[in-house]
Amino acid sequence: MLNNIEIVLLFILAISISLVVFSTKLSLQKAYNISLITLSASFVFLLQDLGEIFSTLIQKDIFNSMLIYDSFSLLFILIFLLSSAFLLLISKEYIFDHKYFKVESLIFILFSVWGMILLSMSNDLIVAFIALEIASMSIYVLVGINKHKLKSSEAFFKYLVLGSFMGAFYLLGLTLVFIQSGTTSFIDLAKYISTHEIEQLYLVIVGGLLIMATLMFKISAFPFYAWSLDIYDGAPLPITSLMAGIFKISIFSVILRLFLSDYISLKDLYDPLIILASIFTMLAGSFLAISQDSIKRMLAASSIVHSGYLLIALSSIATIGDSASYSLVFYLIAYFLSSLGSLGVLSMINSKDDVTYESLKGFASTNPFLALMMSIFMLSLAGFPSSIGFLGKFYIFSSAIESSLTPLAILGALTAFISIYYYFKVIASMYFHKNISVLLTYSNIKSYIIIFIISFLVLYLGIGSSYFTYLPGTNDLTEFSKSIINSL
Amino acid sequence: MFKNYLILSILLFSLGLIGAVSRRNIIIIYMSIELMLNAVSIMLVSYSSFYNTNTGVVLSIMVTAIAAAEAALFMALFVTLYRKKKSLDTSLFNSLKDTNATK
Amino acid sequence: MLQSNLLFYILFWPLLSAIILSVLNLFIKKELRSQILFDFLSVAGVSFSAVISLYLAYQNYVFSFDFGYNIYTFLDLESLKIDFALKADALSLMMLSFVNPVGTAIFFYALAYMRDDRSSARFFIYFNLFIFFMNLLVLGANPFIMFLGWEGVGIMSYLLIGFYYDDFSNIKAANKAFILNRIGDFGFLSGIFLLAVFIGVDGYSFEALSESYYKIEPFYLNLIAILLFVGAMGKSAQIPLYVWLPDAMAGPTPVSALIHAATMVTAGVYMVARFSDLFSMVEEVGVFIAYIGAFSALLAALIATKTYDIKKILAYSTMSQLGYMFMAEGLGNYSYALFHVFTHSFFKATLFMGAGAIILALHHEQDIRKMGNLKDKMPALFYMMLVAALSISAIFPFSGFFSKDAIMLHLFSSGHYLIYFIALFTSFLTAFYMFRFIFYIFFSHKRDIEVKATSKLMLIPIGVLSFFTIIVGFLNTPELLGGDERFSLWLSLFDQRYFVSHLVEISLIVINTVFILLAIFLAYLRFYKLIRLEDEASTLSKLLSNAFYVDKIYNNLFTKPLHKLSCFADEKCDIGFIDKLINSLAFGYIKISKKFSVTQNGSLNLYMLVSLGGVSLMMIYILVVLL
Repeated sequence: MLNNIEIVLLFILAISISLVVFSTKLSLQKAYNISLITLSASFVFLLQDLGEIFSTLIQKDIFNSMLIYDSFSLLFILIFLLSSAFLLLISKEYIFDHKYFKVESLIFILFSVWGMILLSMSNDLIVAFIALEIASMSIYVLVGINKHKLKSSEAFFKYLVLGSFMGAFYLLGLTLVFIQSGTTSFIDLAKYISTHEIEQLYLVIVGGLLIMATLMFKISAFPFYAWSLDIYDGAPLPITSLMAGIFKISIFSVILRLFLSDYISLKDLYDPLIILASIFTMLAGSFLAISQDSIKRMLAASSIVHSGYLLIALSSIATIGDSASYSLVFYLIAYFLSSLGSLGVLSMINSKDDVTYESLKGFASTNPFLALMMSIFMLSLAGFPSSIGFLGKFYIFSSAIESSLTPLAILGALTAFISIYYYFKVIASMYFHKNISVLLTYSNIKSYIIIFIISFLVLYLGIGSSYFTYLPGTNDLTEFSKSIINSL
Repeated sequence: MFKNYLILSILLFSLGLIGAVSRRNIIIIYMSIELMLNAVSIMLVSYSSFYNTNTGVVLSIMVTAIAAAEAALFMALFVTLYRKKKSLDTSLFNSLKDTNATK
Repeated sequence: MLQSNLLFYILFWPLLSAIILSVLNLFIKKELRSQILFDFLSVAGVSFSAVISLYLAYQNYVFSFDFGYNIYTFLDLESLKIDFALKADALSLMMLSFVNPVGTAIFFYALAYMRDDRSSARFFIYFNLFIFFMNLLVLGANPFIMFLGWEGVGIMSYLLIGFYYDDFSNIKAANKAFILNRIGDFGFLSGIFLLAVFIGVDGYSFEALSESYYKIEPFYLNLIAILLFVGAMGKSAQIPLYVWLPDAMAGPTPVSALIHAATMVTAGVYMVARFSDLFSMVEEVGVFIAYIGAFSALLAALIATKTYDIKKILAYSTMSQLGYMFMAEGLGNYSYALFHVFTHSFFKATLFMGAGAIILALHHEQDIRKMGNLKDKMPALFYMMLVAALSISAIFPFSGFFSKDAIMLHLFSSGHYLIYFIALFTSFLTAFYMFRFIFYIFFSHKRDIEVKATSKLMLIPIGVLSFFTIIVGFLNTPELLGGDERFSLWLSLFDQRYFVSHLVEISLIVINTVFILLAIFLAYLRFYKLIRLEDEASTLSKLLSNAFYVDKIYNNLFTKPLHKLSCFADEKCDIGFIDKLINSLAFGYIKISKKFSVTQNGSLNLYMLVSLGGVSLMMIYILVVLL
């Protein structure tokens, strides 16, 4: 018998393949509806697995222990499905307005989500790499989907070249690990590392470091952050939010699994690197974010800063373990909500040119609702109290202090303080400047509703306790994040 | 002499690395990256052959498959970029950058 | 107990009046208002409270019931539990029994006084809220609730002084009152805070506190007493925090009558009496308080003799009378002080309301030099004010005689003769300036002055209060005159009593009365037939008429240096240093960030090189660590 996740994987795959087959005959509208239904049906279908903590290997006779389905991956899978459905809903008008979005674009989105699902379930270095490549190759194509625009093609070019260049390091690292330990499975690798002296692990250590380099590239950590501004800028807005809001989270899911299961016993070796990386990531990100004029580039740069915060959590995991890892999971949820929302509002603004601080002036008087939503997302990204972003930052910094990484927490708070400058600049230009912004004629009510739902979640989960006992609140989310860590 | 094969593949990988970083033609960059992947393949295959296991060969097939997928994307990239500027020089493609960057 | 609920209603009715009035004021346009409804709402709250207060006071007086009502627990910590509780014992009920009735009289008077004012509704909102806070102050069962009321009446006083906010000088006066009261409040707050710290564990209500005062070390007990008295200084306008009171007369006259004469300014006296068990343990502080009171009384009386503003004369006289009360409290007799509070509220309210009526009749003229010869034009008012003036001058059988004479007797018998002589001289001055006031207004300048008719609604409350001025004195008839000091017995505070022979008592009364009659005679000689204006040639009179230049001294001593200091802090420290520092940090950051964007020059080869550099650095690190 197949279990739920296998059904979902096969379902999405089947839908994608049949979309490929029928791509010439289907209209964009139909393909859009089908992909939306696929994603949301899978989401609803998987909701029944919530509850008990569980951990099963998928098709053990075929895949051995390569794929694992547990509560941890379930949370991430739910996030991918939900947020990609939200993404499609928010950017409906964008997709239909721009002629370069075809049926194939939706297929690629489905494929990338499929790859991300696989990535969060992978329990083997080679499966992780394949899943990573499935997701990123789809995104390479999506970035360059507007083939008539130089910027889009250029982003495609840069992302592809850099991605495959860094991917080679992953493969080299994988090979080195494999040559020494004779295995690529996370479980066997963990056993191997814990049973051998450090002198016998040189290749595993170096290989692990190379793998880390690739993963750091994907989350745009220092010193591999350089691509992200250009590529986020060049990509169409829905794709940017796919990259920034969803893909990054899937990378973190595999990092967390890899780090917690295998390399946790080598933490003394890796920890200084992670700490240095987080320091420089936060600094570099905030340097870049301050000097941007375009909102999209600013959000790209600020997503570098957020990676820095997540790296703080990662380095405190090395010291105090599980109690810090739930802060990472919580922050991921906070970050995906706020970045999806903010980029979604940007994609609704839907102008031909870049949205800059200049062009947002007076936005609040012409589009009060969207301006309010944008302000909420900005507050959450800046970590303002009573938004979910504040709680996420609070958990991360407190776990950093708990693991005696206080200077790191202080630096984090400092960059969060600096981030107020560029986030509030958006609010200020929307509200405190005279009207030069044009009225949007954006009529899709569903997009408004989704944006409102996301902003409601941002505030509701940020208030801190569940006011309605029958509705899950922040506490339940925190408890849930804690429990899924145990399923690893 | 597995060690010799190891050195060979590391040398090939480094060659690819240097080529990828230093060359400006996109096709040559692509070839360099393929060289890096092939170096990894050689390493895996030689490991299999010296230690009598099939896993390395299987992994090398995986690597080749990924390289093939990348090749498909690169071919598309060449066409797209060539249509834009009638050239494949990387320095021509720098319209995406910080406005403050001085160069 | 049903009657305890009544405590809640004392607070509730004025608050309800204020709320309904503010809602109506917001939503009903001025032209559409029903005058009767607004009038009813304005006075209903305080009238109900007055009836309840008198009833409860009667119950307490006859059956010695104490009432308590706990609304809810405000704060529950391990070391401190504060209830939002009300309590009415004899002391509170005595206060209530004049605050609310006198308040009611003044409210009715204010109805007439504010009739033509465009924002009379706002006035009555404030007024009702004031009554609410005053009752809260009096009824508070612990220092915290008392402080809430204390601050509340302070705010209302501020708002009402600045009621005519179009005039900048009124705003200035309001600010002055508010700021000086802040200094006092700081003392009060520190005092009750120290109490909470030292003995808050054993309960924070007044009863619980009074049982554990002995646990505090004497030094801190003294400190607490002084801090509390600083609070009283601010609210009751004693040296050195008195300068706000004369300026506070900028508010409408009913405000001066109710807040700055009859009720709020006596809150300090009430507070000291409330802490009487604490103050009776620190005699040195008591003597200090008595001297402050004595000098305040003297200073104010001296200034009053040369003041020409009709309301300011009364303001200084209020301050002077408050000085008497503090003299009595400082030397340990709280019930005499409170009895003077009681009688004072009647005659001072009469005087103020009379002054208000005259001001209105003379088209907002406040200078007594421009008045005169009003006896024939407003005879009723003349007799009422005469009664009050005789009372404040302590002439038998008016109420002031009983209260003030008891204080004088106590001062003399306690053995602090300096204070007694100051009090005696002040008493002489009091009679002098009061009759200067009367003669100036009603007799001098035999010339014709145009007078507007005074409405009956105004005269009746004045009449009622002046009637009470005559009789309330008999509540505390001394033994000498066949009484048994019922009032003091009722309050049963920690009074110190000195027994002196009737001979001494009689001679003191005679001396005092002779001095007062002399003063009245002098005032008659000087002012009765006065025609030309007083000259102000002598330096002494100049000094007096300028209130000893205290305002100027304060200005030069405190305000200007503070202003200079804050200017310095603003210009040099803030703009010159901190702003510059922060700006340079921020601009430096932006500069760095502009430099940093060199790494984002769009060149793929650079990006790859940087990534390669990153990998190499990682490798070098691992080499260094492993080898």
